[in-house]
Amino acid sequence: MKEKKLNIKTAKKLIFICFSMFLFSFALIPLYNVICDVTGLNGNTSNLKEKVDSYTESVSSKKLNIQFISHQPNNKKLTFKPSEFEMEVSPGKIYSTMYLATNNTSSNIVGQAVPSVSPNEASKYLKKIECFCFEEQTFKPGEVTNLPLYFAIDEKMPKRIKTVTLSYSFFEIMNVSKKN
Amino acid sequence: MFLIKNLILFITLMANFSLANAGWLDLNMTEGVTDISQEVFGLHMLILWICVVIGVLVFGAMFWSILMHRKSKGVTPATFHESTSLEFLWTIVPFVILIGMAVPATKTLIKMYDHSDSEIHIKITGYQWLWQYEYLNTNVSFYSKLSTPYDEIYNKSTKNVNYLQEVDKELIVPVNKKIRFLLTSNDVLHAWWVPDLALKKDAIPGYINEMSVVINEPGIYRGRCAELCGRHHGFMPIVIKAVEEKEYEEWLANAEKAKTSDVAKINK
Amino acid sequence: MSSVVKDTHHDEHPSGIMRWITTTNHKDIGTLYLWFAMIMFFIGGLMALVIRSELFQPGLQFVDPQFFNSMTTMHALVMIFGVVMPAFTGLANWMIPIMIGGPDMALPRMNNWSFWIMPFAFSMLLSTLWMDGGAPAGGWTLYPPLSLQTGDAFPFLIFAIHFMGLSSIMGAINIVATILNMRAPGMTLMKMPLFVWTWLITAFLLIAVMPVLAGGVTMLLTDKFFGTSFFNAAGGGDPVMFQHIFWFFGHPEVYILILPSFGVVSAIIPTFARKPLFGYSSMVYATASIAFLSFIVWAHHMFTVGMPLAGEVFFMFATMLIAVPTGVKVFNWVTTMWKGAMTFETPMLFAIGFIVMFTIGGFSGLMLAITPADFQYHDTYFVVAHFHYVLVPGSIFAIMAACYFWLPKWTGNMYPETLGKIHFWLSTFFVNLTFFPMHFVGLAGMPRRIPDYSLQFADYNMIASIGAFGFGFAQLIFLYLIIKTIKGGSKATDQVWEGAEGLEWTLSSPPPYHSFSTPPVIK
Ligand code: HEM
Ligand SMILES: [Cu+2]
Ligand SMILES: [Cu+2]
Repeated sequence: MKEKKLNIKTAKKLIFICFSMFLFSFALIPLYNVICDVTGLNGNTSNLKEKVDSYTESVSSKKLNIQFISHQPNNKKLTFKPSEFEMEVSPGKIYSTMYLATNNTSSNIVGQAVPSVSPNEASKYLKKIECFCFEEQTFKPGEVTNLPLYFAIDEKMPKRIKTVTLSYSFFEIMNVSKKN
Repeated sequence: MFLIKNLILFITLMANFSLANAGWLDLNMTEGVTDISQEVFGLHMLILWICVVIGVLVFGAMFWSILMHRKSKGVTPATFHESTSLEFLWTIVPFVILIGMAVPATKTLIKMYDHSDSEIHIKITGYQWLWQYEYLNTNVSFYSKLSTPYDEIYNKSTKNVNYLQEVDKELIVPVNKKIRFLLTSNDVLHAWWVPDLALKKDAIPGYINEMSVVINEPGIYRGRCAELCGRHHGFMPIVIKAVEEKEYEEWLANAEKAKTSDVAKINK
Repeated sequence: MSSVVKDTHHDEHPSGIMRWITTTNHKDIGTLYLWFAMIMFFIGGLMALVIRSELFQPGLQFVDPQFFNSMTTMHALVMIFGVVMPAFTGLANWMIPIMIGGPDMALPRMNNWSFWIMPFAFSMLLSTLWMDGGAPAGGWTLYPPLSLQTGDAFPFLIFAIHFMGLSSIMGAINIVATILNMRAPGMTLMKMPLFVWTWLITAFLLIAVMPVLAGGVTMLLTDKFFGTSFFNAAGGGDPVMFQHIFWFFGHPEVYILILPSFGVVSAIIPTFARKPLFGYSSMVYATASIAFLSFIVWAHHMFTVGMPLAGEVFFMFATMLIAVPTGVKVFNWVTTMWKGAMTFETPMLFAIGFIVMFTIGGFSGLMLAITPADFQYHDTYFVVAHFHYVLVPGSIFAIMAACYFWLPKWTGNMYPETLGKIHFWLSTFFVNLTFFPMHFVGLAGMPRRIPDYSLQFADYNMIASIGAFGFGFAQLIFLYLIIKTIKGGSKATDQVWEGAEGLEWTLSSPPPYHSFSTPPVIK
């Protein structure tokens, strides 16, 4: 009988490990996001507004190119394009550009633009000060909407990165209540 | 014994590749047409040969003892079962070999990750089940999908040489220029793979990936989608045509003009 | 295997079918696991033959591409979770209590449950073949968003995986508890047979990673039905995140599929070489370090997803490192054979076949670890060749070797030796005929998971298909041989093999219903 108790004790310990690992799998999600924010692992730029004042000083003399591209699953319904393809920028300075969205249908289109940066490591040095991607967008039928973007490049951007591409994929939210 | 034969066959085949690689190409990795693809091929052959040599030594020792140390020969079994020096040796030696392998591999990898000074930027989007190519900073963009007729797929007519590796519109690029591809997807994961360029990368919805290449020789290079993407995953080939720079410029100018007049027509 | 029936009449337990449903006896449960694996082996094999038939020639001949994808997906799930894992659990149930001198498994009630969940889980999985939208077709790796396009089958797939996971976790808990608590006095950890050691480590791997798979597929489920966006970019998720979770489970999983076979081979080689295993303690340490390393190499399955350079380099180095302890094992086996006095009965043949072909699979694994080259290999038939070399002439051969090795002990009868040898040689010939050409088509540019291919791949695919049918039919010999041995044959001695050492050989053949009611004396 002593043996039986011992077995159950061992089993309990193992079940505990098991549950912790199950929880760990869920903890991987925030963990991954933190790692991505720190290292730019997946090229997802953080959705946080950056403070403006940290970017007005110390404009660096090196230059790099930043490109804007877009993707939207259904381009007949919605035209969603950057207003310019490429910009030469100096780290430390604030720049602005614009995306244009045209709703070609006769009903509202609601959705959100999701940013992605390539190369991935550049994402943590690309600071968005004001971005249409922070909020859900509603495009009225037939309307052309200007979507402004203010950003700056951190001076710490590694030298070897000379071209950065910022892409927005526009995902429509189909009468589902707001996700996440 | 089949194994030995197999192994010998394998080794002779491999030897043939490296000596005279014409004719055997369809059995080995392609050398490709870029500096990097050739480096990759070199890495592949290097690690293959390392494996073959280790294999010959280990299997050699093993088959030797299978032949010599059998009970039917009346041998009495030895009793040794430990040797610290031997065990230390065969931990350290493979380790050193692996380092020797990792160094060149890392060097090539670093080169593959250098996308600076690209002159042409092309966005590739995977769809279920075709590819879209957009020449960034121009208005040229088009879809490219399988052009093999259904009759060939369903065995109603004879299959042509380029069965399942032909498309309606090829991707046209210049040689000797650095081209940067930006990759994304419209729906599920896809992977854009052209063996001759040693390029393979996943297309992920909502994210972009990049890769770059300098093609050394004009020609037509064929590839395939390499990430399961549903029913027609096997039917979304890639064809890329590398041409001289001048030809490319002309083609692009024409394509742009055609697009502009298209748009004008629609707007009217 | 089921011959234990005849000498157990004096024990009080129900007879007929109820005996098997209610049994808590480790041998009965082991037998159930092994038969279950055998049945699933033929079901999974049939699926493989559907795949190979379609690939016999270019063009679509027999099945719809969607069904083809279902076949590759289901084949993998059945073979991994329905064959290799239950077969090893069956072997563990049968042998571990005996090998450590215990009376039974530590938690017999739970043991019964962990087996009977399996048929339930697999009925659920296999029933999806008849559902609207077809069986799962997104690959066994279940990558979203594709796997989320599965039809009605989706929740069944997820719950089937949950139940398989539950079963293996319960099995693993039982095995750990048995090994830690039920050893005979004097059976110290470092005296345990390697099969027990490898299973102890495997069980810990199972307990650590099966819950992670469960978590991952649960997130898929909520993404599909409850509007979460763990893996959906539109809602701020990342599809690649799933791949990280999956392979965090997946790479340890492939070692779950191979470590017990290291134990089997380490039992068989010394027996037929009549010489003690070389480097026992280094075998234990090598196994432990493989298990440890398997947690930090997962992203080698994801070299093409676009990781930063540093990530690629780290996972390349870590993966190459794992080849070192794996090499140590192979060197130890070869040295055990060196200067032995070998005979080549069927178990020994399978064990030698294992060493050779597993090593070939290890070599291709090493090649795959070289990241720049993996860009060319990844998701091609080269990878298919790699994992089939480690899994078929690897894990499956080890399971067969174990069956031949212990069948006389289990049944009390010798199996027909010549037939066993024929089975070995046919299997070896056909397994190479099937999988070796896959290296070539993979290198030549054929992606995996495609129902049709361009013409330059035709010859080797035809050869592979012929090999697959040959291999399939050769396994009927195995089935016949086992049934025949259970029914009768020349009586086996207790020792069975001349060079056999270990507690299992001190019991009668077949062993009594309760293995060691009084603990044996360990020298
Ligand atoms: C020397 C040790 C090994 C190394 C270095 C190694 C390396 C690798 C690598 C790098 C891949 C990914 C290839 C790709 O998708 O591009 C891979 C795939 C795979 N390996 Fe191994 N491997 C080893 C041993 C094993 C063992 C022992 C098993 C199982 C018994 C195994 C089973 C698999 C499976 C199932 C896959 C494919 C998974 C999938 O994509 O569906 N490998 N291996
Ligand atoms: Cu695909
Ligand atoms: Cu792995």
